[in-house]
Amino acid sequence: MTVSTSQRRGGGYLERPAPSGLADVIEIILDKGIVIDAYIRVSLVGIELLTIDARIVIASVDTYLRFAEATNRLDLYEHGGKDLPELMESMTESGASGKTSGALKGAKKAITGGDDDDKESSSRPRKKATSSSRRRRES
Amino acid sequence: MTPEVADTEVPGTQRTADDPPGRYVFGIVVRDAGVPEDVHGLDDQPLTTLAEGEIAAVVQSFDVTRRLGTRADLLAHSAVVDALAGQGPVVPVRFGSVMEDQADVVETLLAPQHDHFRDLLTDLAGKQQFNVRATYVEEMVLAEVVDENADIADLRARTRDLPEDAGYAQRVRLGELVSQALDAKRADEADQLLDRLVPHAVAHRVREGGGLEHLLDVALLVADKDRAAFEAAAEELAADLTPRVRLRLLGPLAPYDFVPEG
Repeated sequence: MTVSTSQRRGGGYLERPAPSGLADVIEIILDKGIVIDAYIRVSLVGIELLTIDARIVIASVDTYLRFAEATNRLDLYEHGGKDLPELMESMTESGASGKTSGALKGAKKAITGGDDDDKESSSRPRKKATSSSRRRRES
Repeated sequence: MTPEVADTEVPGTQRTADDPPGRYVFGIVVRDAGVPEDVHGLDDQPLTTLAEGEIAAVVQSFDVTRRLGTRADLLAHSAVVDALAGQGPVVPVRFGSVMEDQADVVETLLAPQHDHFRDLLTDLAGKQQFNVRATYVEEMVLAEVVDENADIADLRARTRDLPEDAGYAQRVRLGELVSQALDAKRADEADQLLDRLVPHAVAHRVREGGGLEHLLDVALLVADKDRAAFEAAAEELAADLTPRVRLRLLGPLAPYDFVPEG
């Protein structure tokens, strides 16, 4: 069995994995294709369970709590994530020149709390502050 | 659905471990398409075809009492159907479809819908399916949502340092607002993405998706002559969307999403 690898071709931003991984295959074939009248549906083992979770998210309190948690976790992601150098760079260029994409500006603003939030974020106790966010505020 | 047919004995056929009369059906192809070499079915069984008029079903011998659904079963089904698609048009049959015997395949499946399948195969000739999935980079899209919505920024500021058991209602409300903001963003952006891809396809179906990162999951049926332009468009779109959105392209695949379910 081949391992699904992310080969990057051309410009390099489009991910084109070989669909040999189980997750891809399930997604591609499950519930797809013609249904035969009067055929024998052999018992399908466990597939239902595998997929329900991945495919549909019902708007529920649990979902909302997960979204809230992800939103509140934001600065942890951003300072620990692999895009850190890029984000830091965009912060150094701050005030800048419209070169930075809207998305990066958005990200930066959320990390720093934005201009109008600065007062609050420096006075508020921050249990979750990471070393890099502390460094940034001191600079 | 008639489960009891599993117990029916067909005259002239003998059920043995080596060659059970049941037939697992992978798909329907044009009569003389044949089966790809070097591709085997479930349990490494050989593939055969059962023809009727201008069409044929690609099948393998299968014990109708055997349960299905392991990783190997799914991968084998997918490998066969995609290999068939690689050599010509195919109407994929749903995973796990097993018929009583050869006669059942011909008489119940092929003969009654012969013209329907033949026309479908004609329509699908020279076209392949591609699946495109766009996902948000979670931390970036959430940062945008916080940035663009004062209500969310405010609730986030009030709830983020509260202990787990406090501010429950506020956290639910925060999640609800984030969910709504993402829905609005998604609806808008998904349309823009489709506008870039759909012109290169003869048909498309938006597939269901969910989760915080979900932006768009779409199956597109692309004519072979448009494939290069389509792939270039996807590549260009991916470059434009980076780094806040990831784009993933699967295919060419069999036209799983472009055959009627019934």
